[in-house]
Amino acid sequence: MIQVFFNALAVGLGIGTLGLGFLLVYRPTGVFHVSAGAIYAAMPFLLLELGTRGAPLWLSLLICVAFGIGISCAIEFFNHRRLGIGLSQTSAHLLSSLGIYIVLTQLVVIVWGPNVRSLRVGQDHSFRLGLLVATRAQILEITIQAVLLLAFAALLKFTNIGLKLRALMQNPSEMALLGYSTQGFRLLAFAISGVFVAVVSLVNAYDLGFDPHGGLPAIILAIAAVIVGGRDSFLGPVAGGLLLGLLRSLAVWFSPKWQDCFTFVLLAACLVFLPNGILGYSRRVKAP
Amino acid sequence: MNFLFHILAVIGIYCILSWGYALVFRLAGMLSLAYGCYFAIGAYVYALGVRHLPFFPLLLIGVASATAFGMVEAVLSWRLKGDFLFVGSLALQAVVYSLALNWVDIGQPPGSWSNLTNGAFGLPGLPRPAIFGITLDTESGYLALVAIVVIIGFCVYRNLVFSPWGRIVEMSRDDELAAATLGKSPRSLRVGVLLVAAGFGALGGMLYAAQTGFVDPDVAVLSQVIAILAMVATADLLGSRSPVVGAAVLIALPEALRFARLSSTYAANVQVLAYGLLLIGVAHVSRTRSARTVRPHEANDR
Amino acid sequence: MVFEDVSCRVNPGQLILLRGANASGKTTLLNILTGHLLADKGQITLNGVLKRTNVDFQASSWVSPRSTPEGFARAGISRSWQEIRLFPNHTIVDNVAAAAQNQSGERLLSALFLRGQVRESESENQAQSRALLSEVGMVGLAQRTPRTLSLGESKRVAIVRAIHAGAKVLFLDEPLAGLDVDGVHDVLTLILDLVRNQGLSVVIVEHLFHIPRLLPLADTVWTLARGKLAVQSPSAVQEELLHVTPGIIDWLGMLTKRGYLYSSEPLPNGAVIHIARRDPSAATVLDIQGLCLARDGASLLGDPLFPARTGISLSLRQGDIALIEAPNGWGKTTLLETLAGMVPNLTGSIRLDGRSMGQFSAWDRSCAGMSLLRSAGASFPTLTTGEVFRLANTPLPDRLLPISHQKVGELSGGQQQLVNLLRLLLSRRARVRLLDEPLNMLDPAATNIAEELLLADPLACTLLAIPASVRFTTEFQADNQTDLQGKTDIL
Repeated sequence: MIQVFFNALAVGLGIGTLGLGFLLVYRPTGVFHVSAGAIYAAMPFLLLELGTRGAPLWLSLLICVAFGIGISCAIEFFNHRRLGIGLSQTSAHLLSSLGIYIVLTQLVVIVWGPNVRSLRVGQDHSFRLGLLVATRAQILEITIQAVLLLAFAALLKFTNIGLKLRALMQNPSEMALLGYSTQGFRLLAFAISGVFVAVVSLVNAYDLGFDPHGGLPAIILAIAAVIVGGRDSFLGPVAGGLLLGLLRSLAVWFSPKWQDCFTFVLLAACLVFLPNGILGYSRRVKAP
Repeated sequence: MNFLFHILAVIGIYCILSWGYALVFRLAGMLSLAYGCYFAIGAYVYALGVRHLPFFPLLLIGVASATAFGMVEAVLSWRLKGDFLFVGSLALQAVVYSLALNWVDIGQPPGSWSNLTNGAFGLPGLPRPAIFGITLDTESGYLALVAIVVIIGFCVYRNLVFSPWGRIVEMSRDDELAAATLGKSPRSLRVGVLLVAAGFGALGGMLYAAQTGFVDPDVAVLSQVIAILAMVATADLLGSRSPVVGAAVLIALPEALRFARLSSTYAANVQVLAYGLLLIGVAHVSRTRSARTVRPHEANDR
Repeated sequence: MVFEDVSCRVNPGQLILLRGANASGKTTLLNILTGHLLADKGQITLNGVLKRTNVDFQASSWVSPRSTPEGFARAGISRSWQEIRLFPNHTIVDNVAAAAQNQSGERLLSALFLRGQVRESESENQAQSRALLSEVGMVGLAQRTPRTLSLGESKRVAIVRAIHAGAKVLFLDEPLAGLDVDGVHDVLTLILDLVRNQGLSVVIVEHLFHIPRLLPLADTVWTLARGKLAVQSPSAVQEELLHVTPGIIDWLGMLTKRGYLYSSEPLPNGAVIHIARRDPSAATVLDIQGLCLARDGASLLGDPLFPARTGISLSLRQGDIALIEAPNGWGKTTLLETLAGMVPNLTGSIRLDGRSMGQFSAWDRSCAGMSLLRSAGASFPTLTTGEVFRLANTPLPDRLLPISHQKVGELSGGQQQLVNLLRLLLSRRARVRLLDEPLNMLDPAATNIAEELLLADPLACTLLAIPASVRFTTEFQADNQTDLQGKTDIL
């Protein structure tokens, strides 16, 4: 049983971090950053490509993260900013984000082929820790993601930039009135979300392998984490992610084949019954 | 000549699908990708039932199954709006795809309870439907069937769009609160839209399965519904109320690509990529269009 | 807690006035009584012709079908909004026709299969709708779209639509806001006809400016203040309005004792600006010429073709304190937001210390010294008071030290407002301080603090927007009495 929890931790932190990246863009800008899924899909291919061209690992990783940031910012700069700041016409933002996802994903397929690939060769090392069996990939996943989240939390709490981000999440229009450039902060939000997507994508790819179409399921899970965990705090997506991770690893326990199906049925149920999430403050129910 | 009939039948099927989706996307303003589920359900119902049931009862069962699933999406639409409904619809689409892909058990015969869809192997060799004893083996005969369904579909679509029901659905899309204050229930309206759309989707799916003779999980894949979305969005973009224009354009697209002699391995991917570009284009153009109808107000001093 | 223990009755054929200061909870009460919001506790009983509907509120999240707006609407309760909510993509006659209840054409199956019947009942509906429109003299507008209508026409169409929906109780949210004398007359005529001749009950939520005009016509008055509802007779309210407590305008007038020069001037569309000037020879900080306002693409104030004559022009020098007094709907918030850069203006120039602000975005204007405090939505709930000041680059004043580690969201409404006010007025960067109804939530002690702060910075200028006061109302009434005489046979 504890194995289930451990697996859940590895998976859940990833979903939670992705969810946080999604929320970072959604709260201040209102944009549903579905195209992040394309970045998620492309990252491991890029790493592999750089690796086969002989770049040292540390450099490849840096380049990948830089690309993650770059593509994310480009999406904001060329697409969402053009569509207008302000929450009217949300479907134009969503439609274009979906379009970008499709274009980038298809490019990945055309350049690198549609097959499932892996970042490592053969069976992974596993360690025995008491009752647990942990693969190296899982330990890497948990450590890196936890470090990233903790670093982000520290950024939020102790730095000026963190203060501004927290303020931006709650009241972006008031931030503009205080003299902070809305455009600049939107870019920052997209950039940080790019970092999260890149990191999670790479560690997940190391653990489970990757394919060009893995982006959308990942981003749907991330959005689910935000919805389930609550959109009103930074902790919400992480909590939601852990819960979803638990559900997924339970599902794997029962039947690996139906894991996806089970997850998405649960997601739909959560959307219907928990619209504010478990950590969200209850909004007075408007007569629907 | 046969090839022409084939193409016309394909256009006809996509017209039916576009009308159904236009109800969801344009009339009711819901950006939902669950429409592909109805298509897939229709296709699989045909595949599983064509050897056991006559055509018309099969049609009814197909429509009924899709409509039942439509109720699921309707419940989702009660709670979710806009972007979040989109996510819910993606979840539904993923569920149906997963069902199509995984409801397989190699040892069992396809179509049996434990191996309903035969997974990635699909259900091949489907015969054409037989109506009143005549099997529609020829392309021209099949086109006739499609044409009849198209005409009926068009009449239904037109009647609904121009009726008081259509009017109140549009009004509810523009201002749900105001519609509610007039005593109209936005929930029931959306249920109605989705149920009718499910019917259109199922019909399209069944005709598609009958034409190709083969059904596999690809009928539930995302790019199917993206194609339909692109058709309807393009029609909107071109200012045409009729998605037929969109369907015609988007069927011509792969033919044009084939003409450009692109590597056949990735022709399908380029096609889907084009759909993506189209969606981005539609989003930007519709934005500028709505910005233009609002009176210009940027005349600040210099 | 917005309000508690509110009890009231609506009888048929009554005209009721619901009044209260801005932010007193009028809109919340209105939303609850029309089914748009769920109360935490209580009951609403609707006595329909055929049946009685009972709505019971409990703190649960599952919503019964009767407590939805459409449920209330079917029981005969309808409402209008402050903003016009006509369906933008349909004609006026369609807007009205769609309101009819129990249309066969609106049922999906009928629309599909019973086309003949649907066609018949729809043409009947269209005829009825046109008849309704012609009763109010607007049948010529039938084929137009809402965007082409004037404000007064739109408001009347909205009311006609509610009638066609079979409303027995009509809640109107500030129906007279933004209307000129003709518009007010037309709308009031319609409302009175509904109440006196057709037996409808109408509850008007209105702001102070229009209340004296409505008092003689109302049957009873509901006053919402400090969380409680009081039912009063119109004459009692009239008495109350005669006793004017000194407000901020009087305070401004008293600044003459400190050497200020005081003056009042009219602004376009029936507003007034009071200016207390410290030094007539000081440098000009804010200069506005021919400003025409727009909101959501619709012109609100001023004609772009004649900006000098119809737009707003004023200039403020260092140390000036100016008050714009205008009724709801005039455009106070739009003016301040336009100056701050949140809303684009139609025409006209805005200069800060001689520099043109036209091309500057909102944040650039803020850096240049244009600071705005909005009337609502200016807080950061999960930040602490200290963090808010850090964010605003303003030193934390001593008087706020006790709450510097408390989250803003946990403070009371009045405290939050005070924090925001201090944040803005103590800012070292602000050259022009724009305040939108800043004193709404403040108690007298906090108001004194605010008043002292307004004087604190001699190099900046301040522009406040406040709702029309009682005295303004009575003075305005007196000025326009002659216009009304010509039209009042019903009033």
